[in-house]
Amino acid sequence: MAMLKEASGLRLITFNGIQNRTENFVYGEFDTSNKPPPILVKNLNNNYIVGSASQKYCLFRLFPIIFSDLVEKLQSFKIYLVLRELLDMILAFPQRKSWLPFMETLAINFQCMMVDLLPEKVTPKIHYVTEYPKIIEENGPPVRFWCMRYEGAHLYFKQIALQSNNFKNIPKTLAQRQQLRQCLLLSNCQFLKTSEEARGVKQIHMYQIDFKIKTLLIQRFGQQLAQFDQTLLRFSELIYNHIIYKQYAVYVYDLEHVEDIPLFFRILYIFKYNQQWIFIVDFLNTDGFSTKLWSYKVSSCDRLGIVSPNDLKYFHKGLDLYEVDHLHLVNLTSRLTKQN
Amino acid sequence: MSSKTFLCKLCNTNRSFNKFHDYFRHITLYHADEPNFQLTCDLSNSCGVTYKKFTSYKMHIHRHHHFLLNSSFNQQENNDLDDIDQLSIQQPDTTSVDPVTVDNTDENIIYANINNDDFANQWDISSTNILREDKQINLIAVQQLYTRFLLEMREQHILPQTVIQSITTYIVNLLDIVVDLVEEQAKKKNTSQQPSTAVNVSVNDIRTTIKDIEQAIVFSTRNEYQFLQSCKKFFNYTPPIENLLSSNQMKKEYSYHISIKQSLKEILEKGEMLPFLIENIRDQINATQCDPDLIFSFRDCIKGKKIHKQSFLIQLYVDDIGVTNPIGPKKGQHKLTMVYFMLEDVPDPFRSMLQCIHLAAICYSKYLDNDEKIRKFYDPIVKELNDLQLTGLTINTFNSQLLFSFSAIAADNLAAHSVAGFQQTFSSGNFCRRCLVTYENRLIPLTDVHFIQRTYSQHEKCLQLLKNKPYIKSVFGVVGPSPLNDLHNFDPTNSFPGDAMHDFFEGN
Repeated sequence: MAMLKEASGLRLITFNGIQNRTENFVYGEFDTSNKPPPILVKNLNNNYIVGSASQKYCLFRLFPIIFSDLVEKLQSFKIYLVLRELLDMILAFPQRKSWLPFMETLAINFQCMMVDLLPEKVTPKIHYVTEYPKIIEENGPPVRFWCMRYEGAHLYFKQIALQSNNFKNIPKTLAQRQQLRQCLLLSNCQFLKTSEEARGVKQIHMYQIDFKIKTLLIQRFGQQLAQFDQTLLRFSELIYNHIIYKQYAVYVYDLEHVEDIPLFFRILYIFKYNQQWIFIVDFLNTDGFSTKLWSYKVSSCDRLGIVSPNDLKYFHKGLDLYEVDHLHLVNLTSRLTKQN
Repeated sequence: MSSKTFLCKLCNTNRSFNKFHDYFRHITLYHADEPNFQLTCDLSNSCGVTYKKFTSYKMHIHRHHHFLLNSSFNQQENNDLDDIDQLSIQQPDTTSVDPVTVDNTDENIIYANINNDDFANQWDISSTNILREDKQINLIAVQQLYTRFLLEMREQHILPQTVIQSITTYIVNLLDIVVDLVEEQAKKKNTSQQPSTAVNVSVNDIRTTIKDIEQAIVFSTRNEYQFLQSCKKFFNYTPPIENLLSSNQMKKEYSYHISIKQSLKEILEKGEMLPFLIENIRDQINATQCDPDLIFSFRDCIKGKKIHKQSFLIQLYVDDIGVTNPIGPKKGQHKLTMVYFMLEDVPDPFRSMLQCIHLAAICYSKYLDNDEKIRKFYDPIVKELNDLQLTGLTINTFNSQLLFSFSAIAADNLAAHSVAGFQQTFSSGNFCRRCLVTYENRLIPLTDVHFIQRTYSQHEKCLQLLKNKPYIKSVFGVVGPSPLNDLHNFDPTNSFPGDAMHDFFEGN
């Protein structure tokens, strides 16, 4: 991944420029939690990008958007595109067996390009990348057995080890504490709990709501809503079934059948009425796919609708909308596929 | 005893006390947190030790002169229970578990002030109600509730043991005050209106109950051992199993195991877990039957075909972590080898939760320096997993046998290579655990070559060769047998799928 920075460092932009740009880039709501630290001049000199795995992944995903004016002029951007396509498939869940031959060619392609363009960067990891199609064939989707969450679990143990300040027999302390924790979790009435959590509550009156939305609501829930002083609860964020829904975030609601083109909507408002969650959404048109930025171009066409969280099936994570050259872009994290 | 007077040497005014417990309380309240605390115990001739810390002095008093404190209690308690002096007897009792911190004693003083105040405030009525309710539950329930509370404090909010002790102290203090309040209130009522209401709980009763509760609380959390005991009693706590790794008697090297079977059993006995798992598997099977092209999990792949359809998948994870001790003589990094396991069939919304990952074994990495120790470390895991795969698990809430099968080991490249018995360097020779690529060959475009995959039989041959000719260090990157070789469904060349996180995102 660092090779891209170097290639761009060769011309077109100075190291300082890179630093400025990564410092000033505005990450979307969902990506801010994984916001990568800015790439400093020092890092570029050392050929090393700091950050955790998820931060690097975020940077990798948004790279063409951050450097949208430069990428086309770079030779090594070809490699990025191949790797990106491969990675999208590797991280997909569920996957399709019919993708495997294509992934194989992509992987070979990637390795050849690496050898060709950046031979000094061919580390054993490049070789490992080429093995993924085979691994998937044998073991299933890699996200099922990647280390991301396990590494997250390390944090708990490290915290305890530091907190207890007892370094005599750490294994014993940790094992004991883990067992105690297990006791606690099991003494809760439910081990795995689905919860609803909402933030940013505001009460609003019907007369404050936009006319179009009002008619929609009345159509769905009947006339009693039309009364002037009827109030609704409005939220800015909702966690339902472990999925975060945020106002103004974009979600995939369906896939166009043959080509797996995702259809998006954008949440305008989150309401609660009669103990039901209601999303007022704006269905977006998927205008096309930009290979250069590796994201979908979308545009709004004012088709409003009402959706409840239970109707969502496909891809549950919220996505951020970015704007480049007056185009609205949605950057997907992995390739989606629809069950027949 | 009462003939003797106790003189406080720490006060400038040389206050004297008639009873020892008064004196002790005075010390606790006013002098415990003095920086230059120094006290010589002159209670009996054999004493005469000087204490520079209040804690040690307190310990000494409780160990050697406990009868003084106790006898004064008894006297008091027998004398007159409705007396105002009552307030004072409680104090030494509570301070007996007091880890002496500055704010703690401050708090005590504040409490004392409140007690001395003439209060006619509002919040005592509600507290009496609670107390009456408390009386109906038995003490064990109180103890259980309290242990649960402490457990939550410790494990959810990760507080150290000392904080727990001060929590106990505060709660005991709080209870004391509640009693005092009740008493005060009762007295007031008595003076104002002689024939009181129908339901009448005597102050004595309340006092004894509270006393019992306090004792139970203090007892169950006096030290780590007691706490663990009460966890065992109420929450089914099972201590980790200690396992001796070293063979010589000189230095004892332990690893700690947590029975996979036991933890699985406990989790699955939670009512909602099994339906979740079964439903999730059924959904996936249905989906793949409609559309055989989809891959959801291990089951839909080549290796997964062999396993039993009804079994749950268990995944292992091995990694080293470093914990740094910033200060002290044991300064430096402590490397630990951790083995986690996880049920693969947990439905997607919960899969990312950390509580789905369970610890299986833990050990200092430096202990695992020879083959024998490594084998000893992994043996219990292998044994248990084999048992689970062959005989399954019976649990109370489900009537048939549950089967499990081992799917794969997730690990970063280094850990995978060390467990599988491959070379642990990635900058020379055969660095891949799945095929026979060499470091020099990595530069050849894949369009020109095809690397031979490692297979089980080929790996066996390598191991045989290594065994026969001990002077050879490695054959095709293989350095030795894997400690997990006895595990069913395990194949060193195949059970370590690459880790997408490390291969794509880590490093540069």
